[in-house]
Amino acid sequence: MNNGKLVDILLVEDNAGDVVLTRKALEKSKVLNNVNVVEDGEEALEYLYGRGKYASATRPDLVLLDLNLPNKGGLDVLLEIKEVDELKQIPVVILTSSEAERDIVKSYKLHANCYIQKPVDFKQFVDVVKRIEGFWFSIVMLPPK
Amino acid sequence: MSIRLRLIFSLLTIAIVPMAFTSLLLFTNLKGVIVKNFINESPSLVTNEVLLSEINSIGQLSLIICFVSLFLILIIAVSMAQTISRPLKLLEFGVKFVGKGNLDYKLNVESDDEVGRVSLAFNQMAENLKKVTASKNELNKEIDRRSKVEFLLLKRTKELEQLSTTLTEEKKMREAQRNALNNTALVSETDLEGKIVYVNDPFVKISKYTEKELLGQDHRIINSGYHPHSFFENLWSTISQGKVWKGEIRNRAKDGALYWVDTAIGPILDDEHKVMGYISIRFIITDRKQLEKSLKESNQELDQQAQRLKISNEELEQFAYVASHDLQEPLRMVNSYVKLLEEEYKGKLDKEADKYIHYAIDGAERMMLLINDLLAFSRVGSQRKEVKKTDCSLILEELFQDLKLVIQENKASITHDPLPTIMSDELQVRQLFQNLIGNAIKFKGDKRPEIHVGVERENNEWKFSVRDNGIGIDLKQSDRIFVIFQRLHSRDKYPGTGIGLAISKKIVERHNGRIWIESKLGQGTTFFFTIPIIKGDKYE
Repeated sequence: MNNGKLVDILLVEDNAGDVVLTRKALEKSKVLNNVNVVEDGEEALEYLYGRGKYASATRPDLVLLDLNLPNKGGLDVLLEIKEVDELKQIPVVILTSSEAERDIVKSYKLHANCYIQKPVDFKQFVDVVKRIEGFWFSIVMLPPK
Repeated sequence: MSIRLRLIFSLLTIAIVPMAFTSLLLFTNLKGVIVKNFINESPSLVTNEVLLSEINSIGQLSLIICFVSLFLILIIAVSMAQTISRPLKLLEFGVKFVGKGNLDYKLNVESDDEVGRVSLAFNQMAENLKKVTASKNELNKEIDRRSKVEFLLLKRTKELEQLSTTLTEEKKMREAQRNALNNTALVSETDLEGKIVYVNDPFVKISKYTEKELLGQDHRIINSGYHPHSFFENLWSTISQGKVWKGEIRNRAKDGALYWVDTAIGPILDDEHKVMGYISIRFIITDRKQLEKSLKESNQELDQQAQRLKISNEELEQFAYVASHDLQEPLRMVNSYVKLLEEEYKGKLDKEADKYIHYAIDGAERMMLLINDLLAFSRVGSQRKEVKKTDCSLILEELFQDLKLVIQENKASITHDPLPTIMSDELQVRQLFQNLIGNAIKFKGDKRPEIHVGVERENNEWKFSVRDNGIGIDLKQSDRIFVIFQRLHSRDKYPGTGIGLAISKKIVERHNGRIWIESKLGQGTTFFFTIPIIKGDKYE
């Protein structure tokens, strides 16, 4: 449970519109959060490993991962996160517009923590983001960093 | 007067002469007595009394003599007449008897007189007559025999005539057949080597060679080169075995024109059943071949078209899916940002701006609905059909649960027949029932909705019906209702995109069924749809 601590969220999203919407939604949440955004898969991994320009970055408490990404796709990023011992405990929420069954199945087989399709409706979108935050930071017990 | 009478009469005449003479004699005697007495004048000699008695005695005597002689003459006459008339009578009887046809009867020839001679002559005549009669009988028999022969001959002649008529008719028929054949068929004959020895006019005409050019040639002269060598090898091997070869050949005329012939070639056999040549009968089928060809071509064309259509249908479905799917992404942005705009700027700009934002949101929302429906519609066609046992009664029960709120809100009463278990894509059939029942509730009239789901088994298919007592549909519009995004009512009155029935139709068609409606405006609508019965179905 979050005890008023600031949570770090890594949003892997190349669509600037969605970035704004997600930020907006998160702003409305009661949980104090710090959202960091990367726009492709390569950068996401750099960030997670704390390499290059992300050397000073803190490891996030939650990853919101889109599947359609330039360079390295979301599923590849997921695969690597869940294979690497130091990263695999980070919860990964797939947040994508894809409703393809194969994407859903693949994601869970690669140990995604959950799969959420971006709601088309703005209000629902805000609601979903709020719920994600509420669930992961208010209900779920996470391992220490 | 009979002979006998004439005889008696003549004899009596003869008898009168002596009697008259006797009487005269007596009278003379009597006169002498008287005279003598007168001459003597002696009254003493003869008294009157004596004289009288003398006269009386003479008279008496002459009377007696007269009667006696008359009697004698009568006896003689009768017996003489008898002797003359008896043979005559016999002759008369004999003649009558023979005249009646008894030619074997012989007259008794007793006398040597005229009657005897007549009898003899008569017997002779009867004999001759008998002979003649006998030969007449023979003749009659002969005539009989001959007439029988004649009859038989006549009969035979008639039979022969008939036969000849039949033969003539047959000949005529054969001629007619030959004429018909010559009018329609190409006939040619070849010798054993295949050299043409006979061609009929049509053969000559179509080949555009002269008869002279054709005779002595083999059929290679009209070979078009279309058929492979093996084709003719097969032909030759068939006919050289004495069998009939049948097939279609493309030939080439002298001027290069091509023509197709339906051909039968068979052997011509001699009296000992040895093959002495070949006869071929061909019918021109160029037109048919052309028709076949164009038919084949148009069939191919159709197949190709169907294939293209299928591909384009698939592409269209794929397109609809991809388009609606990909449209969703930017639409989500539009929708989200107009909503955000509304949320953060409503009341901060002027009223006009608020109105514009509202229209933008309304448009975006409607577009979202349409795209969702389009996706659902294209999914019906693009998803793999999973056919399994589907208990329709169970589906309805589940549906009633799902629609519980709507049903309660509208106070609808829904009943159904016992429904069968069918082989179908369960999800789609559920959607189908949901669409139809949903529609039935949605388009309710003033009355409380009463809906009945029925089923009948007709031949090899289930005929389902969903009957309501709603507003009904103008049947003139019945074609439109199944078309995607076609609506009969304004959105304000009855919300919806007009996708439900289009999806329903697609589902039914994907199950090889048909869907149609029966309706009366203001009185309700019944939707019918059929699902073919396949193995595994059962009626419960």
